[in-house]
Amino acid sequence: MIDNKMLFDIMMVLLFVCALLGVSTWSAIFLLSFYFKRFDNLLLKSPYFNESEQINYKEFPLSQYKTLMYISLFSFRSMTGKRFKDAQLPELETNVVILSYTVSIMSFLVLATGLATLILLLIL
Amino acid sequence: MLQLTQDQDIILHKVQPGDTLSKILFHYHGHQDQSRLQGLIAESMTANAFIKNPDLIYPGQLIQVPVPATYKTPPMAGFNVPTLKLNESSCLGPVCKNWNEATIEQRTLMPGLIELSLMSSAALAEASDKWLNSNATLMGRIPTEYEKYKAGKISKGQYDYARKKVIDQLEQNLKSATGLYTDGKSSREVLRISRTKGKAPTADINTAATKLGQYGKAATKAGYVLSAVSLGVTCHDIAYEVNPVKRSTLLVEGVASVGAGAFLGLGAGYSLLLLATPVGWTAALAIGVSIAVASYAFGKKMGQTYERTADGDLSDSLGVSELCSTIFIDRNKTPIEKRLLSNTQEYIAP
Repeated sequence: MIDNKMLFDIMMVLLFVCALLGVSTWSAIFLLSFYFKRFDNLLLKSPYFNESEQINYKEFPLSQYKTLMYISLFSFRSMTGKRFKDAQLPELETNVVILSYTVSIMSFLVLATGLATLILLLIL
Repeated sequence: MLQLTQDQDIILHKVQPGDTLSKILFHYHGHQDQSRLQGLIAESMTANAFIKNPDLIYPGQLIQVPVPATYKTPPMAGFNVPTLKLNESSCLGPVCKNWNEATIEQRTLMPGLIELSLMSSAALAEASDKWLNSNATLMGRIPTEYEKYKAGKISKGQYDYARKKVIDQLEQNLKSATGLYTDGKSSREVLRISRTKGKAPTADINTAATKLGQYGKAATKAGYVLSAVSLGVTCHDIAYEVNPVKRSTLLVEGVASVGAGAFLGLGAGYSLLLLATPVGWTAALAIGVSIAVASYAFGKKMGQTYERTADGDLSDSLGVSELCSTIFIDRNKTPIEKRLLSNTQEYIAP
């Protein structure tokens, strides 16, 4: 039987993992935002982004959200919903794909550990 | 039977699944030290003679909880009234001071007020987006009229009249906010066709229009800088905190805020992707503010949970206390001061 003390310890570990992964993920997204700027000509336009987004997503800090969207498109395309539905992508380099998958998985882990921490906090 | 003093009152509490006497007392009295908590448990057991074991109460039971007489309204369900740490050196010092001085009734209103203020911020952000966009469009009419004048479609008088009308309308709409793009000059001076060689005639007007939006972007950036500063403040507080439990609580609060910020930021990012919602800078600012408030609240909640549950040497055992001390204390000491400090520590240690 798991007691409260053990749940608390699990929660603390999850919290530290979430914070550490979170900082790493956002740092990776920040660095990739420079590398992925080259896809702006291809993707940062109608119909994928409206006029207001095309202006705002060019600069920090909102450019980070744009990079996150590119990362999702280059890794788990099915989860980009309607936004990039008919987007025609060129053949992506292997490092772009690997980096996108890595950051995507890291972001999912942040969301999973964060959610688990939140649930444990509510239980405790 | 419990004899109530003049400054005491009784609240009837219906036991919920998962409730313990300590949990209920924490709900009504906030965090208390161990001896005070034991006193409150003893008082509650006297007031409810049927409770033989404080850990054995059952859902549905009605128990009498002794509370201060000033506590006339029960707190909102699920909300524990916290006491914030008063730290005058921190920028949140005045906030903590006001919070701690507020009556319990005022404190119980806070969750509703926070929600209301966030809703107002979102509504305000939405309105500001529309307000700025409509005024930027209005400003853009001056270059359009100028092009017509240059093409010979309208006369100089018609162009001057159209420009005057736009400026009057802008001043009426923006009022004191015109200062955002005029830099102390008048709108007429700023919003005019440039005669400088090598510069587009409408360049000054376009610069004025983009200036409005830049203020919002700067504010959003400031939010990110503040996050980094708050981590520094946490480390600073850890370095100067003498109580090891408080040091660990500060660490947990800091880490929890960062974790929550990263979690909510990614959540917001994926929501923007999936919902394909257009984002203006003010809406982004509202998202940033909401994330910051939620992260701060989550950090405080985690800190409370940690203080209640753990034995509190986390910061020391992870080496964070030593690291922060090196950054904030040792760096400012001269070698003699360092030696004096080390002698003092050796003296205190045994």
